[in-house]
Amino acid sequence: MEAPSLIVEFGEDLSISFALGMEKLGGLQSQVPPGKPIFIAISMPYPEPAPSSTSFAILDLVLAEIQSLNEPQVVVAAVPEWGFAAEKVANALGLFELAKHYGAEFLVLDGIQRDLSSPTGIKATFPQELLDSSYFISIPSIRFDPLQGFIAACEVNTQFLEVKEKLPQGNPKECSENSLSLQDKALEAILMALNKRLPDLTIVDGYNILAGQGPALFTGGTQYNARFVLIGKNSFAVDLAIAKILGFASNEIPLIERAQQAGVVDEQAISPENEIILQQKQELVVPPPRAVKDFTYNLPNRINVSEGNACCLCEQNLRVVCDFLREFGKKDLNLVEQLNFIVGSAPPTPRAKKNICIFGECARNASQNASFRSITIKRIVKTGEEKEVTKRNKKILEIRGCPPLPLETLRHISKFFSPSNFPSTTFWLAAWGNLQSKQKQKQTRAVHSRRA
Amino acid sequence: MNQESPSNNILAFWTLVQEFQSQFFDAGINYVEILTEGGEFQGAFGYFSQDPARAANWERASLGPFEGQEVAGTSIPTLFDYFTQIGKEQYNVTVSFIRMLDAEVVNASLDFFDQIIRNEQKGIPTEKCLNFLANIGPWLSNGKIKQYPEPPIFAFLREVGVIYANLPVTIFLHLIERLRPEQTRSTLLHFPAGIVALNKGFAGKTPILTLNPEVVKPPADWETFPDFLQSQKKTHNVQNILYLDAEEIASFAKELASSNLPLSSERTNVLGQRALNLLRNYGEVWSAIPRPLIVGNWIRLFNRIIGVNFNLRNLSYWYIPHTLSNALRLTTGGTGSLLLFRATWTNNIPTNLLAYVASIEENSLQSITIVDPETLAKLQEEFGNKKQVKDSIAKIFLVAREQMKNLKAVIFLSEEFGKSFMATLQGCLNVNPLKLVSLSRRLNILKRSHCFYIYPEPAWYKYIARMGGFTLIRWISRLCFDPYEF
Repeated sequence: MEAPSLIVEFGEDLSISFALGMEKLGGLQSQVPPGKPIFIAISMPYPEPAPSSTSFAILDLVLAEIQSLNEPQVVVAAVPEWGFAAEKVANALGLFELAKHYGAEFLVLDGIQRDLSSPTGIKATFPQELLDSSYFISIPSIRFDPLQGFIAACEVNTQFLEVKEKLPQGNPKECSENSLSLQDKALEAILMALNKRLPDLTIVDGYNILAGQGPALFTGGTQYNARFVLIGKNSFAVDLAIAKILGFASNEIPLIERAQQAGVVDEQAISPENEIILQQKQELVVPPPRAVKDFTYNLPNRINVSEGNACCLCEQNLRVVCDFLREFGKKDLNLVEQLNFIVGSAPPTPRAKKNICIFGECARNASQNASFRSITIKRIVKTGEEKEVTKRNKKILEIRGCPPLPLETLRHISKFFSPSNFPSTTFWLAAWGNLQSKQKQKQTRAVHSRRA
Repeated sequence: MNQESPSNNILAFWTLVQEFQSQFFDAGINYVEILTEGGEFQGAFGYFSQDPARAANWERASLGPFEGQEVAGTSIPTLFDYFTQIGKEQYNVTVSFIRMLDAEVVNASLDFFDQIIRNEQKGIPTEKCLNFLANIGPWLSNGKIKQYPEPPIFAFLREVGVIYANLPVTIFLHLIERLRPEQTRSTLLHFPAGIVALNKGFAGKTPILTLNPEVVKPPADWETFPDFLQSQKKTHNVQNILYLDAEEIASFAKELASSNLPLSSERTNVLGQRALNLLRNYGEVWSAIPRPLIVGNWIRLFNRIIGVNFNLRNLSYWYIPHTLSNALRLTTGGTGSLLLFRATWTNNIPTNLLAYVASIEENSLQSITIVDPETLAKLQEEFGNKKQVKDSIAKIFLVAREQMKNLKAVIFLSEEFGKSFMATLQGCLNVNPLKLVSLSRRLNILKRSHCFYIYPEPAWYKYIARMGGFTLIRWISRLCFDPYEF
C-alpha cells in the first residue's frame, strides 16, 4: 500500500505524534533508498534556539530514526541569515555535538555552488551537496513574519540559495514602480529553488512554533504550542496544511498565493481524511498571536516612522530594526530624545528636525533637497541686530543600502549616537557580531564605503 | 514601663516578634493555637482579649470532640467553625484565625527562642539560626504548620518549597551567610517602635548571633544619622554596621509573598525592579558602616575618569531585570528546561554533585525539581576531571536529553563560584581605581569553565567569556548604571 503524501498527527506528546506519523508513513525505511547519502536541512536563521531554530526535540527523533537504518552518510546542514557564520552559529547552538551523537555530520556549506537561473532571468547559486543528495529531508521551524505570514516548509530550501539578482539600487523611480515586483522576484527565487530540488520528505514540529512578532525571538517572537506533527512529501501542501491549522487564509501567505498562481500547489495532496482532521483542529483554543506589519504598532516611545511608498524589503528590515530597539534598546531609547525614521521613495517630512534617520537609498535620493536638510538659526551680529543663518543639519543619519541590513543599520545608529549613549544595543550587537562571518561583514562594509 | 509589658531583657525580642506578626500574619487579636503530635490532636490554647488596649491573655481552650483524633481526618474549616463558636459562646470574642503546630515545630521553636532570650550574652550559632529559618518552608510543605484563613506568606513559603524545591530560600540564606563572613557585624532593624540590633560575633571560630536586649530610639535629626551609626558601632563593638529600614523591606517581602506562584515573567520583572530600587536607595532604605566606596563623590569621580561609572544612586533598577529576561529568552527560547549542576572540586574531581531541573514556560520559571539520585549517578559517569568540563557538560547535555526532551541548556556552577559571588558584589560596591585589578580578577570567574559554564553557549555568554575583566567592568558600568538622572 502506498504511503499517504501528507500525514497530520495531533496529540499532547511530540514523540508519540511523531511515532504515529512514522507508522502511517510506513517508517523511514520504506522511503530512504539504502546505501545512499541522506541530506537533512534544518532552520538556523539566527543564533537563537527553538522556536527560532529547528527544535532539538524533533531533530533528535528524526536522527534516532535514521540511526536505526544504519545509513552510511547522514548530513545535517543549515545556513543562517544576515551574514552569520554557519559554523559559529551551529557551535553556539550545540548542533555539531548533536549530529555527532547520532553518527551524523554537521555540514558547513562553503563548497561548490551551482549556478541556477529562472525563466525571467533571476540568477542564483545552489550548493552541489544538496543537488547530489539521494534523499533530502527537510525539518523546518515555523516562524511568523509580518510580511510573509509565516515561514515554514518552502523557505527551508531557500536558505541555501544565494540570489545574484541585481536590485534597483536606490533608483526611486524604479523602486516605486517595482515595489511589488521585488516581492514577486523573491518569491520566484524561492520557487526556483524548490523546482530544482524539492525535499523528499518534510517533517514539521508544531509543538515549537515562533508566533507573535517574528521572524525571531529578538524581534518579539514567542513560543506557541499547536500540538501537531506534519509529515509530507510536498512542501507546498505542508505549508497549506500549516496555514489551515494556524488559521491563515491562503491569500495571507504570499508564497502560497504565488505558488497557486504558478500551479505548483497540488491541492489534492491534502486528502479528504486530512481535510477533515485539519478542519476539526483549525480552531485552536488560544489562537497564536500574529505578527503585525503596521509600523505604528507597538513602536517604542521615542521612535517615529514616516513612510512613503516604501518597498516590502525596506519595510521588512525597518520593522526588524524597530522591534530590536523595542526589545533590546529600551535603555538606549531613554538616553536619546527621539529617533525619526524616514523611509520610501516619497517620504513625508519627519516630525522633528533632529535625530533623523534616512533609511535606504530611495529615501536618501528622494530627500536630497528636503527642507529638513538645513536648519535656520538666529545669530546676533556685532551691530546688535539679529540675523538668520542657514546651516546644514548635522543631526541626520543616512543609512545606505537597498534595502539596508538590520544589523548594519543598528551599528550605524549606535555609532551616530556614540556607543556609550547606546549601551544595550551596542552590547547585543557586539555579542552577535562575534558570530558573524568576518568576510561577509567586510564585504558589506566595503559596499557601503564604495557607495559613500 | 507598663506592668503588663515585657521585661527589659526581652523587649527587643518582643518588638521583633510583634512587628513580624503584624506585618506577615493576621493582625487579629483573638486566635487559637492547636497542638498536634504524630498526626494526632493534642490540645488547644486560645489567645483571647476582651479589651484590645490591654495585653492579651492565654486561655486553655478545649479541643472537645477532636482531641486524640487524626489530623488528616479533620478539615481546618471545620475546626475554625468549632472554635469560632466556642469563642463567641464562652469568651464573647470573635476568633480571627486558628493555627496548627506540630510538636516538632513547637519544640524546635522553643529551643531556638529560649537560646535567643536566655543566652543573650552568648548568642546562638549563625548556622543554627539559618537552619531554623530554612526549616520553615519544609514544615509548611509537610503540613506541620497550618493556619486558617491562610496568610499569603504561608502559601508563598509552602509553594516555594513545593514548586521551586526551596532553592530560592536556600540560595538567599547562603548569600546572607557569605556577607563578609569573617567580620563582626551589627544589623540594625528600624521598626516604628525603635531600632533592634542583631549582632554577629564569634565564639572561637564559630559565628554566633546575639539579639541586643534594648530597643534604641532613632535620632530625631537625620543629619546626625551617620554619627548615630558610628556610636552604635562603638556600642556594639563590631567591625560593620548594616542599617535596614525594616518597614520598607517588610513591604517588599509582603508584595513578594502576595504574588501568585509560579511567578510570571512580568511579575518577576516588577519584583526585580522593586528589589533593585531598595538597593539603589542607599541612605534611606539601607546604610552601612564602613559605607560602600562608590557612594563617595571623590571615588566616583576618579572611577568615572577611568571609564567606570559605578553610581549606586543611578542603578538601572528599571532595566536590569529586563536584560536578564532577554538573556533567559535567548538561552531557552522562552520555553523548555534548564539543567542546573553544582559541584565541588576536590583534587580535580567533582564531588558533592547536586542537580536541579528548572522548567521555563513563557519566559518565566515555572518549577524547580531535584534530579533523582539514579539519574544523577548516570550523569556523574559522564563527568571528567577539571580540565574536561566543557566536553563533560556537552556529553551530559546529550545524555540528559534522552530523559528531558525539552532540555535547552545545562548550567554548571562550582561551589567556588557561589562563594565568590557575594564577594564580587561587595567588590562592585567598593570599586576604586586601586581595586580594579582585584575586581577584574574576581569577574574572570565567569570565564573559567570549571567555575561557571553554559552549554550550548548562547551568543551573550560567548561574548562575556571572551572579554577581559576590565572590559567586563566597563560593560557592567554601562548596562547596570544610568549615566544621567532622568
